[in-house]
Amino acid sequence: MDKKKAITEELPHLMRYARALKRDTTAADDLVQDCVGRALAKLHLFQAGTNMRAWLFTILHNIHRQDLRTASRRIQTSVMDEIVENQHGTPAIQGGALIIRDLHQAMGYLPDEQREVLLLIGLEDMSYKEVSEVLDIPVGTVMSRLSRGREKLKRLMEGEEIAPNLRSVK
Amino acid sequence: MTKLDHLSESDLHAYIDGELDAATLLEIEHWLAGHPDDAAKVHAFKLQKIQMHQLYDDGLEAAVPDGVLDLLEGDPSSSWLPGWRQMAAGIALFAIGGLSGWGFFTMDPMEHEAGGQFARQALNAHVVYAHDTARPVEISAMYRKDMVSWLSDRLGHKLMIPNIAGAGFKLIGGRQVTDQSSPAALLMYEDKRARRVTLYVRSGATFSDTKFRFIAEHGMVAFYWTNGPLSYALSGEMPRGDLLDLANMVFKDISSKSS
Repeated sequence: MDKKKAITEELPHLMRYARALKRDTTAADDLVQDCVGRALAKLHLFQAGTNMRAWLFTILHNIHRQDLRTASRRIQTSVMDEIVENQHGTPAIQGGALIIRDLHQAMGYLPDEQREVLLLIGLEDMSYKEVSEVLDIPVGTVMSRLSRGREKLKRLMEGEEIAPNLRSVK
Repeated sequence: MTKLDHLSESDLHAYIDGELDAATLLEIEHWLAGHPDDAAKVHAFKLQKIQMHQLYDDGLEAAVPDGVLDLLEGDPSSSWLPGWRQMAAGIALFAIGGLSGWGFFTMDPMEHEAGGQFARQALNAHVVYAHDTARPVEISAMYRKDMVSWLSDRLGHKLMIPNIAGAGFKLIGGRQVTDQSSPAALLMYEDKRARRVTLYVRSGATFSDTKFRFIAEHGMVAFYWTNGPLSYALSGEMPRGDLLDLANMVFKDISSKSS
């Protein structure tokens, strides 16, 4: 099958996942665009018959990681570095006990690494092995992040008060 | 069939995610039938998956950004650049026409901080007033002359009202707002789809150049810059490319009216 067509067919999944991951539409659109751009540039490396979705998600994740790493550095160096996006931030809490019942908000309290695994498995229906390949981590790590993430999400959704060490005041 | 003596965490999750072979699956179903606590946990985790779909499946239908389509359709005019670099390229094109140029340079940290504060004030004003359905402006565009003279007086400089009707945005009016401890002006525009953009204007140069800076927070985006004795920030909730087009129109129009 035409590789470009195969990429096009995966776009809805990339869009949905990027939005859930970035929690910001503009940032998600940029991520997808960067991902597709890089995939096209590396298209000769894609082996026909292998899993296009997993390949694209791997690329998307590498870019996401780079974004996170360079986010702080950019601020010092150029005009565009003034991009200040609250895309992976934890929601600010203004003090006092805050009870979260809303899933979207609760997802924001999960560490990035747990949120990724929960979304890839829960939303994208990837197998543990696929997730381990996409994130380049052992299957055991996938399972422990999944387990911790789900437990934490359950406690948040049940209205558990957030422990003081999780309070972040921006 | 062997009997389980306990249910491990990993088996519980593997059960939910369909990672088990048929024999283990049966064992676990048998276990769950007699252990309501574990069954409740399984139910809660399954529910998380369902709710995640309810929450995020809209993303499957989301409009694919034009930039992505251009890439895939092999539009030769759009070489691949990461999103923000593409924007930089867009601004650079405009710079040839009017601004002093675009490039990488080390920001003056004082300017950087003042700029960030300025942009946040503008975004705050936008979020407060653009969403006010009852009284978004103090003076309606019907009394434009009065509005201009009042706000110019408060700013200490002649306020130019840019025309962005070409992009479908009409002035609905303005109000006085505060910037730190000084007066500032907020002009509000609206298009037919009831999308609002605000232009926040304060007196004083924030930057020593006229380049556009960009900020995005909480779903809002703003471009901000200095032009002559005034600093401007255009804020809205729209793709940054669209807002950039508007910012270019505002900049050009004010520059031509000032000269």
